Amino acid sequence: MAIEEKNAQGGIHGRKIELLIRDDENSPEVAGKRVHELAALGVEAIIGPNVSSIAGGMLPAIVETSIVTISPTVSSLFFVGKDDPFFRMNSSTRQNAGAYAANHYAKGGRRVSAAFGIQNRLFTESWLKEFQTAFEALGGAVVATAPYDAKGADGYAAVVAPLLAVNPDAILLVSNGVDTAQIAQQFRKAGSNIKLIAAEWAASEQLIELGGKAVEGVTILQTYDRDSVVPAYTQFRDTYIGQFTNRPGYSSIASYDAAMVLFAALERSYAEKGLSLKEAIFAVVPVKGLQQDLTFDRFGDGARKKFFVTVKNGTFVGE
Amino acid sequence: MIFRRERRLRTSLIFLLASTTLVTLAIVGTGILVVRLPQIVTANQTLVDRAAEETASRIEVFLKGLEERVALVAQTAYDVPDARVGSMLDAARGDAFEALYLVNKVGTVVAISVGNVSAKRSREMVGIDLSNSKLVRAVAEKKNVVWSDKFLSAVTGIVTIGVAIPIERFGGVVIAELPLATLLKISHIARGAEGLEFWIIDGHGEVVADTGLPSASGFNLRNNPVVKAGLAQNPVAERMTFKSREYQSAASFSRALGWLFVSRIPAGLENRRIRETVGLILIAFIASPLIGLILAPFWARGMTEALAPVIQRARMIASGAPPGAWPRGNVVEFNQLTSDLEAMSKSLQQRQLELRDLNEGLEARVEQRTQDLAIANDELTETLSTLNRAQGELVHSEKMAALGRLVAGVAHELNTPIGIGRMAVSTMRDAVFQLEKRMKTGLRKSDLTNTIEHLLSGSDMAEKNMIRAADLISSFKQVAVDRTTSNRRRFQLLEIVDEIILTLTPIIKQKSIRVDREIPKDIILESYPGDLGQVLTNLIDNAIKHGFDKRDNGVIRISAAPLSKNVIRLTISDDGHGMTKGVIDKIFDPFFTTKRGCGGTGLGMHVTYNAVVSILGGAITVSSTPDEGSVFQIDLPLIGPNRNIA
Ligand SMILES: Nc1ncnc2c1ncn2[C@@H]1O[C@H](COP(=O)(O)OP(=O)(O)OP(=O)(O)O)[C@@H](O)[C@H]1O
Ligand SMILES: [Mg+2]
Repeated sequence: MAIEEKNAQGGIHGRKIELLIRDDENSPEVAGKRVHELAALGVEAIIGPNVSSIAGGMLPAIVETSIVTISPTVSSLFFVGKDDPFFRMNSSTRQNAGAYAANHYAKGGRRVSAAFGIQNRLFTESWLKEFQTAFEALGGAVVATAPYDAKGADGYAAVVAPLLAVNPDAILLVSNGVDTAQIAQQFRKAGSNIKLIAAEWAASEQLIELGGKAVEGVTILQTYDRDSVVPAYTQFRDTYIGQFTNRPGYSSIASYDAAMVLFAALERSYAEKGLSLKEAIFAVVPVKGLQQDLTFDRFGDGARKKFFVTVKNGTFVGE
Repeated sequence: MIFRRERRLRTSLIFLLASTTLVTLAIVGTGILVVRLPQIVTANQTLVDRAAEETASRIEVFLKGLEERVALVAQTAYDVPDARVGSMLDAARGDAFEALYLVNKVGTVVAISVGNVSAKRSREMVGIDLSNSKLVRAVAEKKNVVWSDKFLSAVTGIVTIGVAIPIERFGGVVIAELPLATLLKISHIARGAEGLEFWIIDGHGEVVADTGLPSASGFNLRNNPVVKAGLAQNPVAERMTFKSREYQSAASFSRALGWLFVSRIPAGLENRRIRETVGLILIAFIASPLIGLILAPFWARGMTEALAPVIQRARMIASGAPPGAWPRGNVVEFNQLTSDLEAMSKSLQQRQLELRDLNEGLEARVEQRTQDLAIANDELTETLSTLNRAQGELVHSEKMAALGRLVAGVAHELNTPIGIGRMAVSTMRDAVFQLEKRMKTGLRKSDLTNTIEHLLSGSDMAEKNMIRAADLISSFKQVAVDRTTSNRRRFQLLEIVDEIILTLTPIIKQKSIRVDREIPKDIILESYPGDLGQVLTNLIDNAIKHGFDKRDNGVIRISAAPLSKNVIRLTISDDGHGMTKGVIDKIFDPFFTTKRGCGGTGLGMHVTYNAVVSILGGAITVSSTPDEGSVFQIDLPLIGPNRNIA
């Protein structure tokens, strides 16, 4: 969408932007290969990936080909503080998990059990570790953790029961929206009414659609304000709905923001000879995003605003 | 200037063949393209139209079958004992569905059969809440069979499509989920023609299946004009652009499914049939001149071989050798050329013979003429020498005439003193007779003194005139000697000039002509006074005769001045009629005169010129202005050249 808009405005210095889409097939190895393929095609920049494990697979190729890559969503600490052509729009796991810990502690939470998905383990484990560190620093405790495999043969029962057994005041779910919805269903099915907290990764419409009543009351962090009335955002949202019929999720917003940063940088690097795209990015930030100013520290790590929401009657409602 | 490139026959033939085939092919090829391409386009359009319809109905039929199966479950589900519901669902699911489950009216899963999932997991799925599922909601709303758009399955976690059928009696729903791959498979069957691809697009414009892509990772085509129109159930355009490629396309909307079936086939050169047609023409275009190129040399060889003997004969004729027998081939034009050449060669030979004869005759005639010319030449030479002789004689007679004039002048000059002398003597004789008479009658002393007085004056006068006559004679004698001997001697220029003027007195006196001379006494020459006199005579004579023609008066001026140590300039000018340029140019030519028939011979100036140049060793120039007079300048060396008297 961002590219269509930009090209409609005449592209960058008269050059149209061409979008090449490559499927990482949800495999880190494939993703790494794709980077090399794109490099061979002469692409100037990559937007993506959305998942930390895939980013891990791409990073060596990115460093090798030095193609500037902007991930709208990746937040794993693994990528934080590295001087490479890999830029992240999102806050780091540490920042987000820290915010979660503070939020829950402030509500009186002290004992937390956690379930984490093993599909994107690099992310989920590190996230949980960050949460634990922050939460324990505050005085809370993570009393039990359990990995679960959404595609595995074992049922969720093996996860649900032990986590509930240690008498926590909340269950922390660290996985994507679909998995979070499914495991939430299992907690409710087990008859528990316990407070559920979902890591920001799950903050999608799918969580509500698939979670149904099971996800009612789930607290989750969003990196954008659903109810924002900033014109840039509302206009984007309406166009998005017009095109895709549903509301833009946080990855769509972040992707759009990433494209904004990239275009500004490309424009600058075309205008200024000898300026690499990476240097151009540092030169153009902060760039106005849909809801916030977009900027990076010297390692190319960004940060998003944080909004805690709760699911109420099938929608996210700000706290 | 136009340069014409010369080419060999062979090259020309190759050109001819190649260009003929190319032009033919260009016309035929264009014709084929013009006729064939639209046909292909129409055929392709029919193909995509039919394919869209067919796929739509095929999938509709297929899905209707599945739907009936699910409907059966919906009808019977609540009649089956709870314990057996699970196995019934399993049976109904078979391989056709990914998942088949019952949802009660509050949205909770009450029974389920899921493929590829452990029994434990599938059991866990019972009891989960699906009240927010779009499909469940849609059925609740419509109370009718609903085919879903693409959606994320709550039970399998993958993207899928499904059918939901309400269970009227209990308000629940039976949902069957279908793997996208199934649709893809069916669409693939319908593909057939190369390049024909399908999209199955749900009501949101999401691509449910794309035969053009290996994996069914979907994308949204809501904004594609064909899809947009198709979903709105409007007629769709026959052309579309997708990923910057052109396609011919057709769409068929399935009301039952709420889906759009779009078929597309590459348009233009991307299309195989068009490409093949164009390719074939291109191949023909390239191949036929090539074939022409290969064949042409053989043809050309045949032609040149037929021509070669003719050319050889022509060369022989050119070099003069007899050409021998003329060959005949099987090309009419060549044979014609050959016989023409033959005829030409024959007539050439004949003409050559004629020419030779003519040539020989000519030689004889030339010799004859040469002889005639030689004779004429001899005659002319003789005439010329005769003429030369005549000229010499004329020149001589001119000199004689001058001498004659001289004698006349002398006679005239002598006449006066001698006449006076005679008169004086006769006066004296009369005085003596008077005295004799007185002596008879009485001589008085006064008579005697009178007589003596008469005698004294008479003898005095006689003496003076005798002396004058003697002087004249001696000076004439000198002139005459000079004229006739031509010896070099020293003389005073002034003296010679005076003598000449004297000799010319008779003609000068005829008119009142003044002769002014301005000659320093000290100019002494050692040269040929006779010839110089002749020159002066001629110039003065001309001045009077021509310059003062029909005039009674005039001035002739004779002056001299040293020009350098050894050269003096003598200038003779008159204020007479002068001459035109035409006269001046010819003045020294022998026999040139403007007075022919009136006493002029035209030799005067010629003689003058010769005398000045070859005898006196000087130079003479003339300048004149008509009506103002003429000026002759004579530059003379003080010492004249030695002269070999022949
Ligand atoms: N002083 C002059 N003034 C005008 N015309 C002259 C004079 N001297 C010569 N000519 C022209 O030059 C011509 C040639 O002179 P040239 O003395 O050779 O021949 P000519 O006087 O005609 O004949 P002749 O043989 O009796 O001298 C003359 O016929 C006359 O026309
Ligand atoms: Mg004369």
